Amino acid sequence: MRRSGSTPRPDRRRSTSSAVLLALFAAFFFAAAAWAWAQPPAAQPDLLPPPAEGEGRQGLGIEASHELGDPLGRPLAGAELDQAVAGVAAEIRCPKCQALSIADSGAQSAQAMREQARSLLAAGYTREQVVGYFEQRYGEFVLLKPRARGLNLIVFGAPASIVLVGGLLVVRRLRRRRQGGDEALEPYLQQVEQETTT
Amino acid sequence: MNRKVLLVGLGIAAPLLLLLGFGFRHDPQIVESPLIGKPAPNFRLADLDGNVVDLADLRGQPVIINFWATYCVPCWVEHPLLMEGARRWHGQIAFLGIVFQDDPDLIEEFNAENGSWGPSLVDDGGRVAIAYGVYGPPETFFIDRDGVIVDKAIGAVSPDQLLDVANRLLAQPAEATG
Amino acid sequence: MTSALGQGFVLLGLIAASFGAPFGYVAGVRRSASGLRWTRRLAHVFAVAMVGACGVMWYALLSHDFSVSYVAQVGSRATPLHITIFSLWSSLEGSILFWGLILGLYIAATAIFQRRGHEDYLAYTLATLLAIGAFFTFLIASVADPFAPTPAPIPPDGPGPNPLLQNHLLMAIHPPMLYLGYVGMSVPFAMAVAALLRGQLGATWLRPMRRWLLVPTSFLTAGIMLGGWWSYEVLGWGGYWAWDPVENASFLPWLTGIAALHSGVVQQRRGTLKAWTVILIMITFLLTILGTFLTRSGVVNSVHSFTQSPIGPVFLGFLALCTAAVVVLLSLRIDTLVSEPSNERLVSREGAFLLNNLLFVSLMFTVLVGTIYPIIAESLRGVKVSVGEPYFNRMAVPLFGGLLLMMGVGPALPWGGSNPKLVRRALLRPLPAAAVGLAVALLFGARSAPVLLVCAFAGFALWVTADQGLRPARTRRRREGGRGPLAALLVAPDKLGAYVVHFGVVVTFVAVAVSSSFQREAESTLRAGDTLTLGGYEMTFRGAEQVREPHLLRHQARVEVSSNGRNLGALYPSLNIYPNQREPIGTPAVRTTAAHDLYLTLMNVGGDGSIGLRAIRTPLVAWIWIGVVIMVLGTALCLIPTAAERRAAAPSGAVPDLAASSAGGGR
Repeated sequence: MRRSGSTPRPDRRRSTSSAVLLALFAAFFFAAAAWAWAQPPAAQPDLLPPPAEGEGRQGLGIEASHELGDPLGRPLAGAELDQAVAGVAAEIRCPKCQALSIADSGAQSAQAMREQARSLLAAGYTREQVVGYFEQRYGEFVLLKPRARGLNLIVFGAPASIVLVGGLLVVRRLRRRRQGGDEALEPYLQQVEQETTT
Repeated sequence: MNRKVLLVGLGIAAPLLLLLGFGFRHDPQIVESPLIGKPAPNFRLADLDGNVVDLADLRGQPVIINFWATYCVPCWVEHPLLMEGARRWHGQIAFLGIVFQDDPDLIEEFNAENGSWGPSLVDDGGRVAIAYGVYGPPETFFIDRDGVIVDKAIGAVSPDQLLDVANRLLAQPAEATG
Repeated sequence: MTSALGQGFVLLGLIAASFGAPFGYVAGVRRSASGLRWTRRLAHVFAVAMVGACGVMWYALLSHDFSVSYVAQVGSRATPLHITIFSLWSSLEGSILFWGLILGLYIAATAIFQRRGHEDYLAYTLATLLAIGAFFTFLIASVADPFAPTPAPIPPDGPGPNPLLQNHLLMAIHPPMLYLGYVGMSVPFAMAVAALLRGQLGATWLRPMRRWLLVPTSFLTAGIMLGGWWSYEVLGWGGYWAWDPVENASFLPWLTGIAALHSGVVQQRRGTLKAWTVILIMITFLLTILGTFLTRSGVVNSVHSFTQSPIGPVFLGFLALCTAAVVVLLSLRIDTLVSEPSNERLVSREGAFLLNNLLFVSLMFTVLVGTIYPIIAESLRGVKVSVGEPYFNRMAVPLFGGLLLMMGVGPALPWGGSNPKLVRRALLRPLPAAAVGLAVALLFGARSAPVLLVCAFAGFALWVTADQGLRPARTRRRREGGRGPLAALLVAPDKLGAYVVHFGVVVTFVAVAVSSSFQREAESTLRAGDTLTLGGYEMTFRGAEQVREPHLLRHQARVEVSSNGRNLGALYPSLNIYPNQREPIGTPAVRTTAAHDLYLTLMNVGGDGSIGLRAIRTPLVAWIWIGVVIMVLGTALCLIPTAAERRAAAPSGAVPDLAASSAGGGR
């Protein structure tokens, strides 16, 4: 699985296997990074059309559609709706609780928000529109995963950069050995070691 | 002296510590509303007796909306102040109470005992509270003649804030309304 | 009277620590045997003072002496005896006093158990520990004084501890475990400081250090698990880990502590990574202080945080002081710790350890950034943001996957890795096990890539773990024969223990992956006689009753559970309503089997006798706890002295450290 390349010469083979393992790791992390980043672009709440006037006044309550404009998706129902509700609910923080999402929380406000999400999704609003609706009302605080823009990029970029920097340090350490692998270079190696042990 | 360690160590630690220090200036419990400066979401709600209030009908008049509940202690604290305010600005500012997830019977009981400063509107399903991004009672929204939210209080309203914002709301010329 | 006695003990501790610390450093510099003796005496005095102070507080709690402010704050005559005992750590001031007690016990234990074989470092180690002790006793004596007299009039009764903490007995053992972990990290830290001050790092440093690192890491493991279990059994949302800032805070030092344990293995074997191990230990300690700061300052929004108090700034000051001291000390002295020349290949055991450390540190950093980013965003942008489960799942899960992969690949690889044939065979042999893991997952209907990967990696790791864990025993039996299997197993208890821990980790990993991917739930409003079905279970609501207890009103629903017509008995989820608390606190009812848990929560109780019931069916949850128990048992095995250590511990075999360190190659 992980040693696809093997050539007759032992030292070449060794470096090939290292390269393969390194490549596997790199691929793993690239895939992971891609996975972490692969989120559909979020709709910007303020780009939505202004509230429509004069409809939905018959019943009591409030029409979220006034604030949201036209639905950009198609109406959902059944299992598809359930899944969409669960997806949105997992990303919205329950305002009354601490770290829980409205999917996990049993608080009444969380229940009300789940219901709101359900009716909006059933009416054909997209997932992003619904998440944007809550963000517009409660502020960025309700998003359990910050939007990847502006300063928030720190929270995504910092871990990635530490993996990168750490990886480079490891590679440098290994490279040092490979260059000076000769026995004759032992004293020199020791000196390098002394200078760079940090 | 290993300068590299010193620089890297301080480079990581110092900003972190500074930011943590800054963290003390903020109360983690208070979240500012993104709705300030935005048009107040419109709603149509009935009070306990079935009288319907439509926020749109109140355009042209400043409105103070208070989300409250009988179980919330700060709501009791601010109750006399709101009574006083509703009396002082009667006919000038509309005071609307929206009940946040509470039992109508308890509301009835509370109002009978303490008096009420405005209609107690029932928000079934909590949709209006969601539209206003209410984290928990009490929260008070101040809406000007044009139907724009100009300020918000989290927790019991203070007399100073009520007076200050009410004066600002009343100072706005009435003809500005379209 | 009680107040004065308690304060007296704290003051005694403060004096012992603040004299002991400088005394120990001087004794260390002069290598004075009598100075060391005195430092050890002061360490004992500190421990006795802390035991005394906690004893006085327990006495005050049990005798309901409300003239002591802490008792007036958390005590109540109606509280049951056992909860009164635990209320020592149920609130801020008491928990810091308890912290002092644990620190005292650790200091005394270090002074007693390390008096032989660690002489070169002991004075510095104790001095550092006493310096930390001085800070905590100062804290107890000043801003967090639990013994302060209650201002008159003295109340006849108190409010009792936080209701949430009264709900479950797990709350009694979770905090002490966590504190034992947190506080215990001070010991390896003190040893690391000693190594830097001494400028050498030999075998008489490494062995005790690893042991003293293993103990708190293991407590921390247990503490974190108990916290998750408590959250699962009490909070009623069906999960065990919410990536809450305070949960994360306990996770951070755990990650670096484990990284340090692993880099210590390389150091023991190859004499490399000395400075790195020291740095990791220091980071671990700083993270425990950071975690305590986050928990106790109210700077983050969390279920667990104590209310805002003046302790926050003092703790931040301590954190800043420690960080500055660590950075300066490292930059001055790190060049004295010279490693053996490194001669590593990527595809070798050493290389695997490097990657392991990279993964652990990256994971720690990810969790750290996610935890404190809200504070950063608020300071720089003035906006409140949340960083929660969806973020951590995206960012941390791949790193965990990498760790699981490395747990299989790493131990399979030979040290040095210079023989490509051996390397290839080591990596190919476990592949069938990985295939079996994959096949099992597919058989049970897993289709999502993360779960399939975890199961394949787990199969690989299990094979390697079993192979490596039993290797010393097999070798010994082949060579000597005749021994009983148990004796053979215990030839190298530390190696066996390490692989037992790995085994526990694999179990927990698989359980977490499966339980979080195959959770199913149903929610419905039920009237008496109605049935809710979920995943082969029929749950019939048989009515609710109200139970009035001294401090709460409990709505308890009777739900009969059956599966395919077979009656499985009744479950009683309940909602507890405490006065002055709006949101009722639900106590879920859980039916645990080896295959899955059925978890019932009462969402609400209607006036008409109907209930809102939420049922969650989660597979393999029990195995998460079982895996952690295996990890803790494995750690216990690691603590059994090896044959070599037993020989070394014998007085005649005591080796002076200098010889050992030059034999170890430090130059």
